[in-house]
Amino acid sequence: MKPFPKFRLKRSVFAYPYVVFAIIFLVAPLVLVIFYSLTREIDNYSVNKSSVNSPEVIMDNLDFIGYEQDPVLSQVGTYYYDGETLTVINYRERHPETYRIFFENEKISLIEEYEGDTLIDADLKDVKFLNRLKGVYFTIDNFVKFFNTGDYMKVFLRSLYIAFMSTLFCLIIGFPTAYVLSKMKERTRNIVSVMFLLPMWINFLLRTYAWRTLIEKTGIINTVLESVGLPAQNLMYTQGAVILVMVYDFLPFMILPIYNTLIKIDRSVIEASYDLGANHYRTLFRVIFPLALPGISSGVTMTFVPAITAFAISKIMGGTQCATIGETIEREFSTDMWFGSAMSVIIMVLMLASMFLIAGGDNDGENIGGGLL
Amino acid sequence: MAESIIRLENISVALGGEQILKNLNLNINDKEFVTLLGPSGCGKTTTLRIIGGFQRQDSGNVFFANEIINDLPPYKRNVNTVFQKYALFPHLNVFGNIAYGLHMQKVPKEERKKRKQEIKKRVEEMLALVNLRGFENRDITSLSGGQQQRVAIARALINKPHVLLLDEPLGALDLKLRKEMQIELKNIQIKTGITFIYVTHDQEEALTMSDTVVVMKGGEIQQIGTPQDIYNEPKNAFVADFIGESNILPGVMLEDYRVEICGRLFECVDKGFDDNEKVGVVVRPEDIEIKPESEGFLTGVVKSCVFKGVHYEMTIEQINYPYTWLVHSTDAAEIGDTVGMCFYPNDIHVMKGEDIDYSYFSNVPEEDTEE
Ligand SMILES: Nc1ncnc2c1ncn2[C@@H]1O[C@H](COP(=O)(O)OP(=O)(O)OP(=O)(O)O)[C@@H](O)[C@H]1O
Ligand SMILES: [Mg+2]
Repeated sequence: MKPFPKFRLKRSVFAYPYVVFAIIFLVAPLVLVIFYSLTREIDNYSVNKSSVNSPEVIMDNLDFIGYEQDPVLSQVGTYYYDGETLTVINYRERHPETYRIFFENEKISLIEEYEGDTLIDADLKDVKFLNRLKGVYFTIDNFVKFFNTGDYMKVFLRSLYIAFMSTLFCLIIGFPTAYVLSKMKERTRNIVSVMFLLPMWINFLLRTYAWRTLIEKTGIINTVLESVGLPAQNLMYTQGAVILVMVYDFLPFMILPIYNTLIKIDRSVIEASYDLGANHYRTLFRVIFPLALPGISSGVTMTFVPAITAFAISKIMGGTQCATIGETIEREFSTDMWFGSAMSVIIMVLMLASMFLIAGGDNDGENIGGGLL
Repeated sequence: MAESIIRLENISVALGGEQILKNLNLNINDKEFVTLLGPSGCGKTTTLRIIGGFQRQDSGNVFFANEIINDLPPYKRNVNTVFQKYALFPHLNVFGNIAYGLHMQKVPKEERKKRKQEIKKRVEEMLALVNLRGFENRDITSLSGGQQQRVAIARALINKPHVLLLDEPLGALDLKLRKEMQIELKNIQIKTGITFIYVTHDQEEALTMSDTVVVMKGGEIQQIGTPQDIYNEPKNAFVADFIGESNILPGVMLEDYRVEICGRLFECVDKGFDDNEKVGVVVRPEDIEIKPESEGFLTGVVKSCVFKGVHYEMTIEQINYPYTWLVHSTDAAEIGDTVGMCFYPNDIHVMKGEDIDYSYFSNVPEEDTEE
């Protein structure tokens, strides 16, 4: 008797649903954004072949006029062409407009307004219909636009600066805090860490507005200053205000991963350093700091990334002078999805590059994330 | 009289509400090889931590060359440690770990360049010493436990400390390598003249390597002495039992040189007890000779006989007296045989022993009783 064939599922089979999940929820939006960034929408005008019997072969493959080259053509309407001039009859206005069209390599190369007779009387035998087609085409124009437009670069560099400063301050405040926290007795440590985490449970917009009421022109700080007789400070709508609130908002994301790596450092390794003649400072820089690097790098990532893409904080605290790239992306995306996507792709690439730089030497994936959460 | 290098004076430590060290007094001489021996949790590591400066005592003083060093931080003590769990730096490779101590030494600017060469040379020497040539660039995590342990030894030795503390430094090595390293460490100690304070719970290791053995139990020192003293003249039943499996039984010291055990009178070499004082008597299993029934002082029935490599380990139930003897003998005996046993006056070790709990030292292992 033949034994019943054994079915053996590979273990990896069980991972597939998660892979699918990851593709749908993580990869798909990413691919979309990259796709958008590399394309533009085209308004495609092609000659309808099935129209009136045409002697003009050259026009068969006529394909496109970007509407940017002539906004008029983006209008919805019917287009008549007689070999020399193009008539657009706007559906809405029913008012014909006439253009002269020049060809080059079977493509419309130039349109200029025709100042002769209108085409209403033209011989319709020779007229072709130019149909408007929607579609996309691949181009790097979006990226070119970003780098060619000085303003965007300026905004980008500014937000890079703001994000960098916020991250730096977070690190300067966060590392000693995490270090002190990790050295505390368990009870005090729990109380203090709750104090750090408590603000995170409040909506961050509310926290940002709270800062606003503090440093506004008529805010609490100025009120106090004036009552003491000091001149009021103009704190609002400055880069400083933006950085201040960013540091406040993102500090826990710096402290937590560093703290998590610090408490995992084997006490005896630190003792070994003392034992071999290193004092407290040397031990800090030669042992504790290097061992906390995974936590530091994930802390830096977790503050730098949200800091560079944040838009609400700069909008509320920085006003128009301190518009950040995140804010600009948000605005551009709502009007020009393709350019907005390109901007976010640029930021993403820069961010990945910086992350690789930060994570540089440390290749054991085990520690990435610093054991946060 | 040799010079005292480390002295602990009335050291007491409590951790987590528990008294870990109880009024410890210990003097260690320069260039001495001292072993702290005791069961797990008896406070050996804690004692080393006090000497190393990692643990502050609740009371008492630590002396280094007759100066109090209670407040000296570890990095200012001329003492290096081989930690029980290696405590190697995971972010440095083998070279970085071993060179760490040298990097921490202050060097005048002019010598910086030469220094690099020198460090390299010294590290290579150390690697050769611990049999790890060519391992410079290996990651710490890629080493086996034994290799890590040897890196830890090299790292602690490179600074040429005055005193080296070793906390079970050979625990992770296989028997052969351990024997080699024991000899190696002993040679290093003799050659360099570094005072070794060595922690182990392996009595054989303690006896073969040390000049002085300190037997500890429950945070108290039981006995300090040369390996011979400890082995031949254990002060109490605990030391006797810990230093090697033994026959420990109650006896009565009738007068000097005469002791009564298991219903018989024996000659012995001990004196200075009260007449008729109750004592404990130790007879080492390897000191007992197996003889034909008629020739022995004592007779018994062989209950078990297990081959142990060098010798047979036997348990022999004495006739006429409720005691089971542990005997190591090179000759085998049949289970159930009646044999004679004899031992000589200098094999009988008498110790003060009113409060000995003899049932604790019963020689009848559970598995053997089933047979
Ligand atoms: N930080 C601490 N808090 C509370 N108890 C401790 C602490 N450190 C050590 N102990 C206790 O002190 C006792 C002695 O510990 P120690 O490490 O000195 O033992 P040891 O002799 O080195 O043992 P082993 O041979 O297992 O290494 C143990 O019972 C241990 O549980
Ligand atoms: Mg220990």
